[in-house]
Amino acid sequence: MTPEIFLPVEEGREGRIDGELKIGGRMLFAADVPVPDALHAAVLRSPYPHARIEAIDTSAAERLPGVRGVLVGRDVAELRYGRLVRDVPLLAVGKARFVGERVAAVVAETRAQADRATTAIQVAYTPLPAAFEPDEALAPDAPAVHEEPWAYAGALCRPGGPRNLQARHVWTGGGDVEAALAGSEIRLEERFSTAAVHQGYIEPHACTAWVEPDGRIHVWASSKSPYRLRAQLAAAFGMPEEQFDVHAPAIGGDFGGKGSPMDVPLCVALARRFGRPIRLTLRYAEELTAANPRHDAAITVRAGMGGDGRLRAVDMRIVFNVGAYAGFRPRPALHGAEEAGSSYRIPALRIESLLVYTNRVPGGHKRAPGAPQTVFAIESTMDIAARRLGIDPWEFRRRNLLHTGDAAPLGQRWPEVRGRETLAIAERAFRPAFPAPLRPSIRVGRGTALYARTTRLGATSIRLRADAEGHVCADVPIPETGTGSHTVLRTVLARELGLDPARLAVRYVGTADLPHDDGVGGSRVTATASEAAFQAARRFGERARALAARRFGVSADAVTRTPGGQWVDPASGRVVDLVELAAFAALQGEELAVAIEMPQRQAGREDHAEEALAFCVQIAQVGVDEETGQVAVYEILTAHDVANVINPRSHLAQIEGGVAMGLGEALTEDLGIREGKVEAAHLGDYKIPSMRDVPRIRVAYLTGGRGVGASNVKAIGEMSNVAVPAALANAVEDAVGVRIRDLPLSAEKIYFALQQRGRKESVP
Amino acid sequence: VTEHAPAHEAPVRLRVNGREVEARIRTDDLLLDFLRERLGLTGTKESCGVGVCGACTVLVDGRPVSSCLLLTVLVRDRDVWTVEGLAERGEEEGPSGKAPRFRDVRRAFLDQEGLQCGICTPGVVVSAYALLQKIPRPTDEEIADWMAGSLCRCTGYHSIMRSIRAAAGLPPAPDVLADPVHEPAGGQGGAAENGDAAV
Repeated sequence: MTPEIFLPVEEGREGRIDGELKIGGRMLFAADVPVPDALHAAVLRSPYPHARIEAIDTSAAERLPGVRGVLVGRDVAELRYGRLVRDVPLLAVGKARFVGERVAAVVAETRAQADRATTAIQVAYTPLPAAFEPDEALAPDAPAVHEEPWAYAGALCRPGGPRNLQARHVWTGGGDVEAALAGSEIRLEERFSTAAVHQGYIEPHACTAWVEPDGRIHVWASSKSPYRLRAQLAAAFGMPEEQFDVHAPAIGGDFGGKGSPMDVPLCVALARRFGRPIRLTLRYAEELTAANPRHDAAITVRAGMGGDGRLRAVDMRIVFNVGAYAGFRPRPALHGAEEAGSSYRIPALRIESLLVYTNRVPGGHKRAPGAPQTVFAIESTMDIAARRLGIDPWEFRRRNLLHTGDAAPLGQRWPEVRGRETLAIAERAFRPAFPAPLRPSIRVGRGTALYARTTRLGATSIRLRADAEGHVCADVPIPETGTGSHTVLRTVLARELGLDPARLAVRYVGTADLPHDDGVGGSRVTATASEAAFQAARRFGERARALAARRFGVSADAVTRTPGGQWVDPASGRVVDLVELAAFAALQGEELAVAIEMPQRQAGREDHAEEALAFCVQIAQVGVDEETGQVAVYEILTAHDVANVINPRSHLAQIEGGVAMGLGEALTEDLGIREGKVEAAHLGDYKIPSMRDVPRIRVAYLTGGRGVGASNVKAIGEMSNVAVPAALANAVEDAVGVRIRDLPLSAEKIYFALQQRGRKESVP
Repeated sequence: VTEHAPAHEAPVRLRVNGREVEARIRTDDLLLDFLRERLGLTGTKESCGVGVCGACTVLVDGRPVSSCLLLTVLVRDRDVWTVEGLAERGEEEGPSGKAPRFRDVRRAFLDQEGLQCGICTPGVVVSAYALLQKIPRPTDEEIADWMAGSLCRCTGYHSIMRSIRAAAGLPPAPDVLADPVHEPAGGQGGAAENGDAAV
């Protein structure tokens, strides 16, 4: 890789708000928070995918040096947690449902003592027949992962429903799909599958819990959704939310994976039981084998086209492997499934999503949940269709993309749809990037894929307060996951308040301090937080104006503000600044402070006027070695439909980081789950891209779009990762003529596909 | 000590960030845990635990090592530097005189924003500093080879590459500099302020 540009250093420009702390190693993450007198916890996990727990003997472990106690399932049997469905036990109760499930927890004076003690716990298991893949799990005589899944709070299934079916959702739009397929001149039926993949954040989950003598429970956790974590803890323990205070230190990478309670409920139970603060940090092997990876999926697409190269109908059936518990997901379906209907004109569309319990590590959220799977299937199908029709894949997409003013296949009417325009700038920016000379066995190709997602505002709150030095501190309810959201907030506030950024602080405050926040997610943080900051700044300005008017003894509308954030009485020429206003307020027993609460806007299905749809079109250029099946990626061009960009650097960072993540999912990442067991159990086997692996990335922007919120922005965080696997699969077919329908696109799969094609060709 | 001797307590003396440290440790203690838990130097991070990700990188006698794989007892009498120590002595001249000082590395990572969540950052900047001590003006190939031992999930590495090149005083590659791709002004797009971020 070669960087093409340096970002210009703007005069007086403030860098990241957290840059110095992070580069100096002084930023505290959850595992770094100093907690005096803490005990360390370690977890014993099930080696069986499905087994009855007959007996647990903890006596030997309890006698080991430093060990303060052991907790097992029956100690916490009544507790269940979950983001929507509360089906996750703190420790396995009666039986273990996946390899890696928590069976017992040891607390000891040191982490090493706790680790050692887990090996001294004796568990008698009786292995049970297990179901690993959704199709076998759905069979009427398959082993039941849960005896009564419908009995959990929030359950989405009913007694008498299909075996192990956790949730089903069907979206339909337009005409009768079967009739439209039957009437199509060209029909396709394609099957795709994707691997379970981990978020790959470098910081393993960590938490500390401490119960104050009055019963108040403090939690320090690597959680991107502290307020939702608090609500889930309250529900799990049957306590009021106010009893919990969730502190969120800096988060060492999230990508969706830090949104579930994970081990926090267990940590709280241990703290309550043993009367001391408890610290629990996962080892990375536990992350890979027992956290909440992206769901693998099996997808069938049936598509019908007319001879005119226009889509007539699409029927899509997506089966997601839930794993043993559904509680790591906040919604009945994965958002990405529905997005099969966000890009194209499809007169008749049906999408069926099945989520099926199995005896495997539970799935959770990863950057655009459900979307890379869905888009891999849809965008591969688009290329296959174009080939069948003998139309260029770009032309085929151009013919079928939605236009502004169209109703989308599922009925949404977004204010602006710029798919064709985004495709056009991608085409214009494209230029061949194939190196020369190439080895004779290398064939080059290019592939295109696209993705569209919506942004809408979420719920949040914010408080601004001026201190005696005239600094303004913004207390916010969102932790910094690394995206630069706190820096963006400072930029917006500096602009709106007319203050030097150096006089602004942005800090996360615990859940005790502000009313609510939805947490980081949905590519909505910049939109939502900057809207709240905008509202708060306006109100802060009114409050400052009123104080200044009182100070001057004039009416509020007589006061004006200078660009530098001072307040002037034009009649007398008097000036006050924030230092003086804050002191003036304090003298009267008041504060120069405002708080804003921004509630959730209820966007109905028909009301999409407040949503912004963003497109991303990607063109990958690859070389495939016909002798080995190895793919080299020369360049990924990624074109983005954007509105206003508040911070070009952090915006670009989302794009570049997303492409690299998509590259990993496309080529190398696979948890390798065999018979329910994760085989890629360390970062040597689970290959996330290194600096050696990432290709050149070119970015094209379609600017001037209509975004959401006061800052007029569109989604970026979950855009550039999604279509990369499909673009690469399309490029591989363009290069060597084989179609890989199963992610990742490993050299082995391509090699064997080439062998098979060779055999077919050699038959006379 | 035989191969299978059980862990026992032992005294060690070493230098950490320029200061003499004496402690009794267990012979199976890892340097990573010693730094984080005994000395409170939490800038060095634990992640993969198997020497792949580079988050725990520290300098031992000037060479970058994974402290998650190194027994504390093996760094007896050695000179260990963590990110905190390098940041503290950042104002001083680097040993070679010509190689960038740590403060140049820090400045470049701030200017080029070679970081996001920051969990890999201490390991990345320690490793980058060690690279530039050894090779003051590395090629992109040399940078990528060296830095392949530091995994970052946020950035996609381009901003880290930009940062290291800037720290080394290397110019941007000129061929593509004049190629920001964006919709020209007038039509649908045209926000030229985005052009400077286009690669």
